[in-house]
Parts: sequence; structure tokens; C-alpha cells
Amino acid sequence: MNGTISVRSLLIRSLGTCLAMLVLVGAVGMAGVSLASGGLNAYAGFEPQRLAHRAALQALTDAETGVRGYRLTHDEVFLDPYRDGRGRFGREMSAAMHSDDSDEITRLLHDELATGNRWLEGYADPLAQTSPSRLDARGQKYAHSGRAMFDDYRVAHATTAQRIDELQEERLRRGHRAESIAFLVTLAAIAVAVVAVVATVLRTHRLLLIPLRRVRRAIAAFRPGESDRRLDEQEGPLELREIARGLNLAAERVRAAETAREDLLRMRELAREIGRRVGMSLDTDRVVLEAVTAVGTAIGADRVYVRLMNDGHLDAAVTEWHAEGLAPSGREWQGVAEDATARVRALFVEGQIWHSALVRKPRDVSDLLTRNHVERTGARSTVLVPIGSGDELLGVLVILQTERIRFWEAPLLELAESVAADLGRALVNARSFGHQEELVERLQELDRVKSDFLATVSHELRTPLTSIAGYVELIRDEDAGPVTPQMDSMLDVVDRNAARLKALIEDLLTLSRIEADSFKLATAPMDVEVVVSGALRTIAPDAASAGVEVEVLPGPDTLHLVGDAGQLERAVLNVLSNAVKFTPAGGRVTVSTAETGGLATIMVRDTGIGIPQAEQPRLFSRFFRASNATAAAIQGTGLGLTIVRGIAEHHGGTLEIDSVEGVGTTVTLTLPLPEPAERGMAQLAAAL
Amino acid sequence: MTRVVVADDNTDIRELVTLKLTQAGYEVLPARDGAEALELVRRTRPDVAVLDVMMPAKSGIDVCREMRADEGTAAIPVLLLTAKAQTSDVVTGFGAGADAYMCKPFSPRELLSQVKTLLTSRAG
Repeated sequence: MNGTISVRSLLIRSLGTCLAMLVLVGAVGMAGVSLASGGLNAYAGFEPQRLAHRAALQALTDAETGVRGYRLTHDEVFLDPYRDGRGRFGREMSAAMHSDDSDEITRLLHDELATGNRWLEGYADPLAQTSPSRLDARGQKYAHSGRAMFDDYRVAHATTAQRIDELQEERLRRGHRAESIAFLVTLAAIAVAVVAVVATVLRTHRLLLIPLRRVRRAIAAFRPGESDRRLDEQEGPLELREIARGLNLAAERVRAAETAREDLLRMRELAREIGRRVGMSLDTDRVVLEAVTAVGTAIGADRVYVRLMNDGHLDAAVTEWHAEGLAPSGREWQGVAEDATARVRALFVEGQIWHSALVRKPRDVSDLLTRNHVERTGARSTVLVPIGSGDELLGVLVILQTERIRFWEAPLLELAESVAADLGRALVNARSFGHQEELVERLQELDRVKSDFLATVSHELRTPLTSIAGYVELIRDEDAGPVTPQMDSMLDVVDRNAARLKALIEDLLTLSRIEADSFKLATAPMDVEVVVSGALRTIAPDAASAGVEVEVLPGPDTLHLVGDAGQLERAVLNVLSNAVKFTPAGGRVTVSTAETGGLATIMVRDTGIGIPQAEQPRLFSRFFRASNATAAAIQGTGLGLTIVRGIAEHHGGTLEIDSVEGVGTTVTLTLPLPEPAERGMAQLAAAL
Repeated sequence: MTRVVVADDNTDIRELVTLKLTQAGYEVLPARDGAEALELVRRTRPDVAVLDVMMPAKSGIDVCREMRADEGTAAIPVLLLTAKAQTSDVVTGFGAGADAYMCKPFSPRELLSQVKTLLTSRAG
């Protein structure tokens, strides 16, 4: 069905049809009812006539009975019923005649009335007016004719009554027929109405509801991302076609918006990806190349290049990417007008980007700078984004379309801006990384030089020292002949100083390693007890020859920690050696170990010469030696405590010295114990 | 007579070691650098070699390694002398196949006893 119909006319027609059918059924029903009732009324209309007619017979029969009674008895009492009957007869007949509309019945009633009257006037009345005395004679005379007349009346009455009954019967039949017809007609009207209404409903359904359902489904199907569906604009009523057109238009707009949004998201995703790639490198050239390549391939530009700032101006050198099939532009942008820097700087300061799509011919461009740019690059569409970091302009990112005109959409410009920002950050990173790398290289070089220097110093000092000490030993061993006691004591001085030099070299090297932090700890689970006893064994001969008693106080059975056993033994030995060295013969050195609050302490107490109070703050200065030590000509390099403290600190521990001149010194080495959980492991490992 | 190759680029030390070992009754074959030492060792097959680590032409460690690689000299005990005292140097030395290691400055007496020990262990 292609004829267009409006919902309005459709509804009017449908409702009109329904209304018409309603009226039709109503009218037919009413007509039927009235028809049927008319028939029945006609039937009922005979009833008074019939009753009156019968009453008339009764009245005349009463009158006849009265007359006959009078004639036979002569009693005038019987005249009363006669007179009453006579009066009733006239009245009833009159009533019967007036209540009928049938001519035939009226005629019959007239005839009947005439026969009745004939009997009354011809027989009854004369007899009634006869006095009782003369009655017999007269009675005999009239008796025969009276009966005959009354029989005439009876016959007339019967004829009329039969006719009335027949008529009434017929009318009743007619009424029933009318009733049946009315019923059938009403039924037919209802059937017609039902068919018409159903047809209307079906039509409305087909023309209105089905298209409506289609529209509803289409609307329900319009979900985000599913805006591709369209409604048929050539179907359904006018209004629905309009709605379909409106919906299609809206869907079109939604689709466009979705496309734009997808573009934006895609561009953002691209921008993030490019930013990530750009940020991955710390080399300026690679960063820039990565950026131009990524931007160029991502957006399908013809050329993308970056010019970095150099000494306050945009560098003539560019890093360029170009589409396949295009020749590299090389250095053709060299000598671009100096104003370009000013323009880019202005853009940067304002936080803007510049883009153009040139529809005019280059020579028609009034702006000199733009014309210059267009003529040099052959650009038909350009995007120019300053690259910067903070307040510093670092360069400019240029996107060109040379083969066609391109109108730059917002998502694309956003991408360019985002990449430029990432590029700015990456360039700053690359630059600072470059500086750092330089610094690291210089530091590494310094470290290497220092190590070389230390190795050289070590070698160069040890070699002559070997000769000095070695030859002195040979001489004193009298390998080259006898040595006088005087010579021997002189050689002893040489020997001692050589030994001191040797110690000094060792300490210096150790200290420089500690201070350079290149001091590597060979950490492993270890037992403090082992370390202390090792140091005690080493110092025992010296203590014995110095006449110093070394006492070890009982401490915890095991004291496990993680550290460099060799270095810690060196530290303990250093402290013990000091204690023995600075304690006069007969003195005592007490060694004790303890565990307090997650710390292991190794305490060495001596009864030595002590350190003057005033000099104590300088204890850890390199080469510092207490005045009472030098005065007593006690050997030392002045580096020992510094080394011990260095070792302690490398283990996360501390070194404390408590001394009173002339009374003695207590040195406490404190080292952290491992966490309880680790301690078991340390214990186990140390025991293995 | 027990022969000992002594290699050190420093003349004073070379002579110091030579003196000590000669007095102890050994025949000392001195060398001034690594290459000479290696040549001498290969030619004379000494009973022990005392090599300085830091030498021109070839380091004591290189000489030691090459000796070990050569079947004829692989069994000769090597005593390394060095001015370096760091653990890593000692490890390198033993890794190259040295039998003993002495740090400068050393005592000639100790050197002699080390050589004696090496000879004894070799004889055993």
C-alpha cells in the first residue's frame, strides 16, 4: 500500500466506522424491538373487546333468565336481573365496539347488537311490561318467537366470538413472526458491525501499529556505537514517516559525533603511543627522528620535520620524515628568514599552534612569512607547533601536506600538540641525561685514574721498600760478612722505619679504598667469637713481649652477624694492637663481647696511658697521634682508628672511645645483629 | 744442583733474590722480563720459578699460565711476587696455576723458606 495516509485520518476513519456500526446495531435493534412489540400490542388490543363481548353475552343471558323467570313465576322479582342484564348488555356491546379497529368485527358486532335488540324489543321488553295477571296469555303467545330470537342472538354472538378469536390468533402469529424477523435482522446487523470493526482494527494494526512497532524497535536499537541502523522513510502513515526522517537525521548526527569521538580517541591513543616511543630514547637525534617518523606515519602527512633551537635561533638543520615516493628535501630550508624564530617564539609564548590550509596561490598570500614558507616548502597545508619545556623554547614541529590541501581536524591538532609536548620533555630528558652521562664518564675516568694512581703508588712504594728491607735483612743475617753490634743497631733503625713505612702504605691504601667507597665487603654469616679469637691469637706474641696481660671475659656463647670476617678481624686487631701498644708492661687489656638490643658489642678496655681530654675530638683525624704517644716514642701511623671506624660504618655499626689520660682507654665496637628471622639463618650458615 | 729461574724487571730485587738463593746453595738463572723468563724456563727446565707479576713484555701471571699449558714445564712450581696485595690479584695468580704467592715488601728469609717448601712438596 503506497498511498499515504495520515494517522489522523486513519484514526478518524476507524473511529467513524466503529461509531457507525454502533449506531447501525442500535438502530436495527430498536427497530426490531418496536416491530415485535407492535405485533404483540395488536394482539393484546383485542383482549378488552373479547372480555366486553363475553360480558355482553352474559348480560343478555342474565336478562333472558330474568324474563323467563318472570314469565314462569310471575314474580316481579325476576325483572330486576332482567333490567340489570339489559343495561349491561348495551354498555358492554358499546365498549366492545369502541375498542376494536377491525371493520369486520365492528360489522359483526353491529349485527349481533341488532339481533340482541330484536330479542329485547321484540320479546323481552313487551313481556316485562306485561302485568302478571295477563302474563300467561301473552307469555304463551310470545314464548316461541322469543326463544327463536334469542337463539339468533346466540348464533350471532358465537359467530362474532369465533371471528374475534381467529383474528386474535392471527395477530398473535404475526407478532411472533415480527419478533423473529427483528431478532434475525439485529443479529445480521451485529455480524456486519463485528466484521466492519474487525476489518478496521486489522487495518489500523497494519497501517499504524506495525510501523509504530518498527519505529519503537529502531529506537530501542539506537545504542552507543550502533548508530548505523536507519528507518524506512517510505513506509507507514505520514507522521511516522516524519518521525523516521527525524530519527534518521538524529542517528546521522550521532554517527557523525561518534566518528569524531573515535577519531579523537584514536588520535589520543596514537599520541600516547608516540609519546611513549619518543620518551624511550635519551638520545636527542633519535628522539627527534622517532617523533617525526611516528607523527608522519600516524597521520599520513607528506613531510614532518623538527627544527631545534641553536644559540637562540631555529637551527637551519632539520630532522625530516617524508612520505614514500617524495624526495628528501635535504637542506633546502637553509637560510629560512630569521623572522621564523620570532614567529615560533611568539606562538610559544602565547601557548598556541599555527595551522593553515592554503586555497590561494602562493603569490596571492599577503603575509610575507607565510608566503616565504609556502614557496620554500611547497606546502599547501601546514601545522606548526612550538616545542618547549617550561619557559624555554626548544624548537618547532612542522607538519606539511604538499601534495594536497588538507583541512586539519581538531583531533589531529591535539595529537600534534601532545607529541610536541612529549618531544619537549624527551629533549629535556635527553639533554640532562647527556649531561649526566658526561658527568658519570668524568667520574668514572676520575675513579679509574685514582685506582691507577693507587696501584702505581702501591707498586712504586713497595718495590724500593722491598730492596731496602731485603738488603738490610741480608746484611744483618751476615750474608755479606760480619756485622758489628753498632752497625746492627743502626741497621735496626733502618729496619724499623722500613717496617713503619710498610704499615703506613698498607693503612693508606686501605683508608683510601674505604673513603672511595670502593671498599668491597665480602659479607657472609659469621661468628663474632671467631673474629675476636683470631685477632687475639695474632696479638698474643706482641702482648707477651710487651708484658701486657690480655683477659677475655665470658660473653654470649654465640653472636652471629652478617659481615666481612676478614675486615672485622682487621678492625678488632687494630683496636687490640693499640691497647697493647699503649699499655705499659704489667698492665691489662680486657676483651668482652655482649648482645644488647639487637646490637653486638665488642669492648676492649686497657689500663694504658689514655688520651689527653683536649686531644680526644681529633682522634679520627688522619695521621693524628696523641701527644703522650709520640712523647713515649710509640710507633704508629695515625690511621688505625680511622680505618676501624670506616670498617664499623661499612657494617652499619659505630666506634666509640672513652679514655682518661693515665687511667686507660675503652674502645667499643658496636655492630647491628640481623633481624631475628634472619638470625637463625646466619647462625646455621656460620655453623656450617 | 737445584736450579731456580728468578724473573724481575727491577735489578735490585732480582739481585736480592739471587744473592739469597745463591747463598742457600741454589743455581739461579736470572731473567729481566716475562718473555726472557719463559724462554729460560723452557730451555733449562728449572726446579722452581720465582716470577714477579708486574713485568714488561709478559707478566708473571702470563708466564705462569703458559708454563702450565706446556707439558714440559707444567709441573715446575711457581712462586709469584707482587706489589699488589688485593684479594683479586691473589685469586688471579692462583687461577693461573701459581703454587705460592708473596707480597712485596717481603723478607728474603721468608722467600727462601717458601722456595724450600715448594721444592719439598714437589719432591714429595
